[in-house]
Amino acid sequence: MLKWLGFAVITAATSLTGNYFSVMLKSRLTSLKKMNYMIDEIIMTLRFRSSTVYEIVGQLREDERFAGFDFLEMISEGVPFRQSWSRAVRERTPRGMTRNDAELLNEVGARLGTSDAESQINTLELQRAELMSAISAAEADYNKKAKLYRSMGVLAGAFISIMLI
Amino acid sequence: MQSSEILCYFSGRLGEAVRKISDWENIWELRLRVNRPLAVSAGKRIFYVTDNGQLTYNPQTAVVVSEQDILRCFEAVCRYSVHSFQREISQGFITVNGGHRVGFCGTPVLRDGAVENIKNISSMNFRIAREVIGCADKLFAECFSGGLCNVLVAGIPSSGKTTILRDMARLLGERYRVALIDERGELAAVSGGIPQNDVGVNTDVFDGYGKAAGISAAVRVMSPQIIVCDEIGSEEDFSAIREAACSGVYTAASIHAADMDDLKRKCSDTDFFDRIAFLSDMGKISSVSERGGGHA
Repeated sequence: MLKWLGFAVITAATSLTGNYFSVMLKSRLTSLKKMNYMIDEIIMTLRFRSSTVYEIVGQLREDERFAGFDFLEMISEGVPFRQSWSRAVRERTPRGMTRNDAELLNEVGARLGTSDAESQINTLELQRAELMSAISAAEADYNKKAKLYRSMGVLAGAFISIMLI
Repeated sequence: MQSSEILCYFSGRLGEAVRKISDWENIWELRLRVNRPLAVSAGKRIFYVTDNGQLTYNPQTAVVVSEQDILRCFEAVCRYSVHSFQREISQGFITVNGGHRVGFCGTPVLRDGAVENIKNISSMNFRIAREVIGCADKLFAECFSGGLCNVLVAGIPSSGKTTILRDMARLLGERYRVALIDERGELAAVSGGIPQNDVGVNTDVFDGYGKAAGISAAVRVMSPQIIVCDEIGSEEDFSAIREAACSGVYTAASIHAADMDDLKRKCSDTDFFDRIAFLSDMGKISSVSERGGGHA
């Protein structure tokens, strides 16, 4: 009886691990898509409202679409904006993002507020182009690997169990 | 302490020195110059600030402002958002929270002959705005006891024109519909759409509007009884005021002028104003002229 229980625990653990990696792929894709919406929102705000960087962050914070972007909560007015943004991204990287994705997100904040609106919009458009290729890669990754990770999790559990018998 | 609003713009060694200053009551201006001592104007004197916030006459013992200090200060004043202050930067000053005016000088970046930006900023000047409730009581009583009229407050720079006009807007706003044209944000100190200074309960603030455009917009959309605006001077301003008068709207404005002769050189139409008040120094009214040159 105990043996079967052990097998069940092993299978559950490996399945959960597989599932975790699959969810992380999905999270990465979701975070990158959110980042795309965020860039859209920033461009719109720069173009039509000429808001300060703190007003932009405040607006993003209140937008439900960016609910998972906890780093926005960390940006405060007490320290220089770029420093604050960079620290926030480092300490609260959105779920699923790789180091390169986080670097891209960091770049978005690094250029905000440093020049006239038009130049910033151009820079954001360039960053968005880079982001779109990251999104395509993340999508391909997800389609290719998500199901695989889940299946591998279950199969690995079953395999270990059989080996133990 | 109203000056606490400007402390957040200073960082590092400079910030420490500024935060340690205790005698803010008399300070009305701070000056930062690259590689030169941090100076403050208190009353009619210039002092220098030491590392521990003491005010001294000796510039040798004062904290020296570096290029980095100025750059950091400028970025903070712009709230790290250069794009939001393009117009102000091109004019050479930014009004920060609390209505304090920060002026800066450096090398202009020109586009089509107009100043688009300023680079290599070498000096910055913080003028601390003070809301002095009641400072215009006397002038208000002299000018408006018989009802609304056109009033001009004249004085040399730093004579207290803006302070008087702000309080006058408050008093007018308690009785009349007022449109306040606050081009530089010094009168109402609007932040997030809310005036930080008391400018009267019936006062509508046109924040950031140019004077002529603001006056036209105010007359068109808010049907004010009187318009208040600071530092008029161009022919365009006078023309907008005259147009407002045609619509039955009075004006209370301020202008840079030391005396009547100086004023007549700057304003060909002084007769338009029913009362002209001259400020001598630090908000003291030296004389009030009635239309035609008579003294009240």
